[in-house]
Amino acid sequence: MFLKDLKDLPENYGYLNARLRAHFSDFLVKEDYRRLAFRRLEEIEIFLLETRYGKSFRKSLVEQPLSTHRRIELALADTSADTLNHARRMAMGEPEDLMTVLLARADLHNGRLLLRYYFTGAIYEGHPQWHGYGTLPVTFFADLWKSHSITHVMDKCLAFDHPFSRALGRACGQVAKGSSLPASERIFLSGVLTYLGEILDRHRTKDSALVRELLGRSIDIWNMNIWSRVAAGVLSGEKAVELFIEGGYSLSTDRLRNSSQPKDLLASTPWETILGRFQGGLAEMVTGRAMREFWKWQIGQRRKDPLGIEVATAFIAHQLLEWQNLNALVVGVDMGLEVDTIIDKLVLAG
Amino acid sequence: MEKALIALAAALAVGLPAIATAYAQARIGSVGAGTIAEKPETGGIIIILEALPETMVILGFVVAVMLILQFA
Repeated sequence: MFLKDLKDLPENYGYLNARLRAHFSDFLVKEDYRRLAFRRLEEIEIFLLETRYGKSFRKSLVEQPLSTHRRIELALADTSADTLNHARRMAMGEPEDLMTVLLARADLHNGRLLLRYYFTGAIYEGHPQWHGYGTLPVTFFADLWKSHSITHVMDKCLAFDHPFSRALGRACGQVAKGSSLPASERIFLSGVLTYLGEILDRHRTKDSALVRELLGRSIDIWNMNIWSRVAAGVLSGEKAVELFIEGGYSLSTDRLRNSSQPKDLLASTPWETILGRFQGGLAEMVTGRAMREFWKWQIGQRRKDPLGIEVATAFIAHQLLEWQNLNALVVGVDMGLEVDTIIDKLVLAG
Repeated sequence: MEKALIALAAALAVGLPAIATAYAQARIGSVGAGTIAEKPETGGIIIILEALPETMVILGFVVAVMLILQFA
C-alpha cells in the first residue's frame, strides 16, 4: 500500500511539468501570427527555418522536391508529432496514462479520415497528413489507406490487437453495410471513449477527473455538432437521437433533444459564454464557437496546478493549436487573403 | 523513565523535520531535475533550492541537542 502510494506520488508530474513549462516560451504569440500574415509564403518559410520547425524543414528540403506550401505542411506535422511524442516519453505512471488519453485525439483524427475516405469512395493517389502522436502507429493507418476495399480495411483492423483498431474495424463494418458517416464515426468514437474510460478508471485522482472532464467536453462538442445539423434542418430529430453520445460534460441527451435554439441548449452550462457572441439564431455556428472555447479552456489550464496534469493538457493544446493556426495562416497567405481575414480564422489563446 | 522521554523528545525533534525535509526535497528534486534537463544554466539556483529544506533538520537537531544538554 505504502509502495503504491510512493509510486503515485506527484514527483512525476513535477519532473514532466518542469520540462514542459520550459518549452512554453517556444510557442508563437499573437504578434508573431500578425507579423507572419503580412509576409509572403517564402518569407514564412525562412521565418520557420529559424524556429524549432527548422529541422524538419531542412529534412524535407533535402529529401523531397515539394512546393513551399507542402514543405511547410510537412514540417509542421513532423515537428508537432515529435514534440508531443517526446512529451509523452517524459511521463511515467499516472501522467503517462493520462497523456495517452489526451493524445488519443490523433487516433480519432486518423480513424475518421480513413472512414471518410472509404465512405466517399474517392480515389486519391497521395497520402493524407496523418497525425503521428497517437497510440496506433502511423504505418498502420498508411497501410489501411492503401487497402483495396472497406472490407479489407475492416479485416486488417480486427486482426490488429488493440481496442482502437477493433473500434475502427466495427465502424468500417457499418460503412460497408451502407450506414451513414456520422453513425459509423459514432461507433468508432464510442469504442475509443470506452477504452479511454477504462484507462481513467485506474486512477481516481483530481488529475484523472480533469482528463475525464476534457473527454466529457469533447463529447459535448460531438453532440452539439449533431444538434446543429438538426437545427439547420439537414438531419431529422429521430436520427439525431441515435447519434448523440451519452456521458457529455454538461449537455444531457434530454437537453439536446428538447432544445431548438442555442440559448435553450447552452444556458447555465460552461458553454454559456459562447452565447454572448451570437447575433440571432445561427445554430450551425455553435460547434465552431464551442471548439474555440474548448481550445481556450485547455490552454487556460496552464497555471491551474503546477504539479498536476493541467500543464500537460495546456502544452498539448498549445502545440496542436499552433499547428492548426500556422496551417490556416499558410493557406490564407497562399490564397492572398486580407490580413484581417486570416487573423480572424486563427484561434489565438494563451 | 524521564531519560527515556527526553530521548524520545529529542528523537522526534530530529525525526519529524527529517521526514518533512525528505518530502520537500523529493518534490523540489524532481522539478529541479526537469528544469536542469531543459535549462542547464539554472543548476546553481536549483541546488540552493534543493538545500533549503535541510534547515528544518538542522534546527530540529539543535533543538534535540538542547533538550539532551538541558535535561539529560
